[in-house]
Amino acid sequence: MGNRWTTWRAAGLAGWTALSLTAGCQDGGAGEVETDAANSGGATGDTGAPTTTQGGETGETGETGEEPQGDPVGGLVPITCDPALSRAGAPRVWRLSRSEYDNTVADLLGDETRPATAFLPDPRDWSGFSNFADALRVGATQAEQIAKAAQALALDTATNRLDKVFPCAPEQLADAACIDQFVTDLGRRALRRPLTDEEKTRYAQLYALGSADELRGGVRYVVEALLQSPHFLYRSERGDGLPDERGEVRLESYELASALSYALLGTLPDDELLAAAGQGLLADDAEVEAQARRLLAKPEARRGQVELYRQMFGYEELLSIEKDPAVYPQYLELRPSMVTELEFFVRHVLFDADARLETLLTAPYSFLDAGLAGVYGATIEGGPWTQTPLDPQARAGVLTMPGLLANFGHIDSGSIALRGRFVRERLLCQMIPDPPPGAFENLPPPVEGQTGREWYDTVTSGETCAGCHTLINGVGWPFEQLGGIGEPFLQDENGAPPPISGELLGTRDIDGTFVGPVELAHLLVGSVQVQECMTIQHFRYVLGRPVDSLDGCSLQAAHEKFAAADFDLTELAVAAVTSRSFLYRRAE
Amino acid sequence: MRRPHLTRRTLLQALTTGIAAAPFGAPRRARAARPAAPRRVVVYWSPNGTVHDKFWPTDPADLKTSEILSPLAAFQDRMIVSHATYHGTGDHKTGLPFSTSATPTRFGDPGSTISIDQEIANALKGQTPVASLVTCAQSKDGNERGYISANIDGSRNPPTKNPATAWEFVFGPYQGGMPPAPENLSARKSILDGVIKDLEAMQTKFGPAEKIKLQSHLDAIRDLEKKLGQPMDAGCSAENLVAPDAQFDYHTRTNSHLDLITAAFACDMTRVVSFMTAPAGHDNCNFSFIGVEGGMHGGQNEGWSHKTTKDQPMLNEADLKMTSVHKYHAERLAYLLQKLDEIPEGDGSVLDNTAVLWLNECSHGNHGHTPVPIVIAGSLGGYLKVGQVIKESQISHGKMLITIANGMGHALETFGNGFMGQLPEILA
Repeated sequence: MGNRWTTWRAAGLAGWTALSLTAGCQDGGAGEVETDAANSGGATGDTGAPTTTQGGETGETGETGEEPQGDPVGGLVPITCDPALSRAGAPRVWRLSRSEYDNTVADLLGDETRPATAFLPDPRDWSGFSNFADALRVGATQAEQIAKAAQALALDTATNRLDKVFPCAPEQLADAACIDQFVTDLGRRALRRPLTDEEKTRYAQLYALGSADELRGGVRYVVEALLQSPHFLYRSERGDGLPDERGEVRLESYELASALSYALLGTLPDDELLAAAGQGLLADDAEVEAQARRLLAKPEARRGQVELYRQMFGYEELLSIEKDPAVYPQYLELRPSMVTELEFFVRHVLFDADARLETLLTAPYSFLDAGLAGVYGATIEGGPWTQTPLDPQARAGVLTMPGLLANFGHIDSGSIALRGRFVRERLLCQMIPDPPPGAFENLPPPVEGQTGREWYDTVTSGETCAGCHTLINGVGWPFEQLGGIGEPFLQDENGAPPPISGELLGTRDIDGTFVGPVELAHLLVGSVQVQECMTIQHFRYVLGRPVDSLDGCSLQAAHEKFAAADFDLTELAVAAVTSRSFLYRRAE
Repeated sequence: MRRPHLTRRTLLQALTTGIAAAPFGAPRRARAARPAAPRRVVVYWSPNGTVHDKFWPTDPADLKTSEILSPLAAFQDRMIVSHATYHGTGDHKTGLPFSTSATPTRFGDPGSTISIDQEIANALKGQTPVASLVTCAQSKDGNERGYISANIDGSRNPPTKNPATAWEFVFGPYQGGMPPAPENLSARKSILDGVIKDLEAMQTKFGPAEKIKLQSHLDAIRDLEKKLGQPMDAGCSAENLVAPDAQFDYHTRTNSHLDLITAAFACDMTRVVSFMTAPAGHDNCNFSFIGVEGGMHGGQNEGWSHKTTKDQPMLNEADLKMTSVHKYHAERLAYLLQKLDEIPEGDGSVLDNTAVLWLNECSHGNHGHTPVPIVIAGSLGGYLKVGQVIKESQISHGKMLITIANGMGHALETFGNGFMGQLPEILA
């Protein structure tokens, strides 16, 4: 397989010009941006209305939408702290994401079937995250999916894993003390706080009702009820106690325990964390930090922390991305492996290697199976999913991974614009708006002697295009050496990637030219802008909402810790969940 | 794939006595007393504009003179083909929400508003077991370009892509799915009562935005409670269309969703459907099965839709490719109309009491919002002036949506971004 992949569509440098003519040009990469890029930024996006500027584009009807367009260069970086602007988020309920649901039922009931993968997908923000509290709803379809999952999980648990939830022997299913302990213990774990007396009574009555005509019916229906309880499905973030001088309240102890555990592990809080909450220890910031470090040392962190990167790098949406089977016949078979690769790699970086941003973005190795090795043109030694060295001239960390490139690629090819936009939006935190109307009209055909790149750069250099395309093209072009699923696309006579030059403009500190995605990756890790963006991305994920200038001081404090830790991503995770933005809500 | 099992006898019985939704628990008397047949609306949505030169019939009296619309010629007298004007910035991003909500703001963003299907579904709430069905044949999961349905606060209402899941949602009983263990309905009822109680209590602790968020959940649980213990085959049986784990291609998936719409209407399970063929401005669909290779919106071919020529007399290769794709969507629409027309109802068919709106987010493949091609099939029981092609004037899309809502029996006066009143041009 490896041979087929390395030779497949490979082209000498001589052929490169001709190929690039057809490799995603004429619609102006702008068109490619539109396909989905980062869910088209702009609009109110992350900066919120106060910091965005009015787009000057006028539609063909002469009527302009009211919505503001994101500033293509600005965005949230640099992070600035203005204490006068600082304000906590609003109180809210936050539905468990699909992956959180699956982790939770695995840990609560021992069910590893991940039933929520069949639930309707949740809306994704342009920054890549699909866990934003505003978008996570329970509509009619989801309510039914949740109900049916609860029925199946409950029956299976009562039938096959009674010992996982019931504290006594099966012969004692009718024992009053056992029932009381069952309701109290399972209820506390599932709802992540002690049950009220009213709830205990209610679930005990349900147990009696369920036991009426079925020996294990009590356990079954109580489990079924807990899995549909809004206190299970949603996390409450109201805070309690008296508002401080800012009119803000700290999350209530059990709310905070859940918030910490879901942010770091993607699952319910363990007994120790619930106990700490019960003792009121989480009112102390030092205890919160100690708990965060303890959680990150648990095995569940290896599962939970990956989720942030899975969403940020487009691996969640990858599972719904199709490719032209005539061009990529192996794609569907490879797709699950692409996701697995990211999971292995991120776990390795965070927990087995040095956890540094630099390693994430530049490591010249990955974890492959045979199919992916074929895509990379690499040789696996030591079996699938073991660490495999890659060509350091051609590959650098996640930026050159097949899954990421497949997501930010077209149905039958790579994409200059999608990849350029990915780097700008998700790594540099710069919003790139959609192309203006009419952007694709009257594009001139290539003239004699013009290379594909000269043509592309020319047609995207017009007044309405250049603003964004000067940012996109120089970043996107070097990725052309890798095709629509990350395979070597352009090669020179020696099989090496061609030296496709790129240029960074409009950045805070890394403007300049470079060659290929590998050099780009090395430039990015040294950029304060990228480092700050990583902090912002972490905040979006753990807060489950857009971040804005109201979070500036929290962001700055966290970023200082990240920088002081030599950009250790696990330290950033700790810093994010110990920030004021994470811990406080507005009093209502 | 199994076919829907809708026997004529069952259907006739269901449709003439109105017991189709008896499993819903509605008193048979009440439904039988309903004088007029129910009215229904389908939003049938396809992306990337049209090829105007191939869309508009050269002879307005004969849809066969339109390459794209020719598959719909048999329904010509029961259709409106029209322009509509969108108030967006001429792109996918604003055209998408405008097409269904008459507001150019992205669903989920501040200022976005409810879509017409949910507006109507809310008004009809309680009349059918399922308030509305929201489906799609293709998606990029979670991507903002894949939402044409939005809730009252403008938040995105996710479509169901898997026909088996959608089928289960419409026809699957709430209980009874887990043989062989018996079901304890009183326990189930008690569970749902508890959920309702908890949701109501939770609502009191939060502000308006969170209350709205929890309200859709509350509505859904109340609907589940009504379905509880009601066998679904009492009045109208529809054998499952789809094998639960079947892997479908785009074409099969599309047909399955259209079959499901037909079955849902035949059994009066819902009266409001929104169906998206594929996300706006996308190249995630492979149309090689109709001889169109490459991406619709990007890729090696540079995206066929972007290369279309708007309104030029000279058609290029991209125009011809996109014509094939749009004609394909017209063929699928004709398939749906045919199915709806095969179900007798009153003096006519279900189609006569339905309006199927074929919407799009753009004018042509290279974007633009004037004019957007619109097809409305079915007269909503004589409410709409069908059998006409309106090409001349600027037609307010917002008013068009208001008119449809009124035809559905919802006395809607204003909608979206300040639109008021109905559209006289399409009123019978």
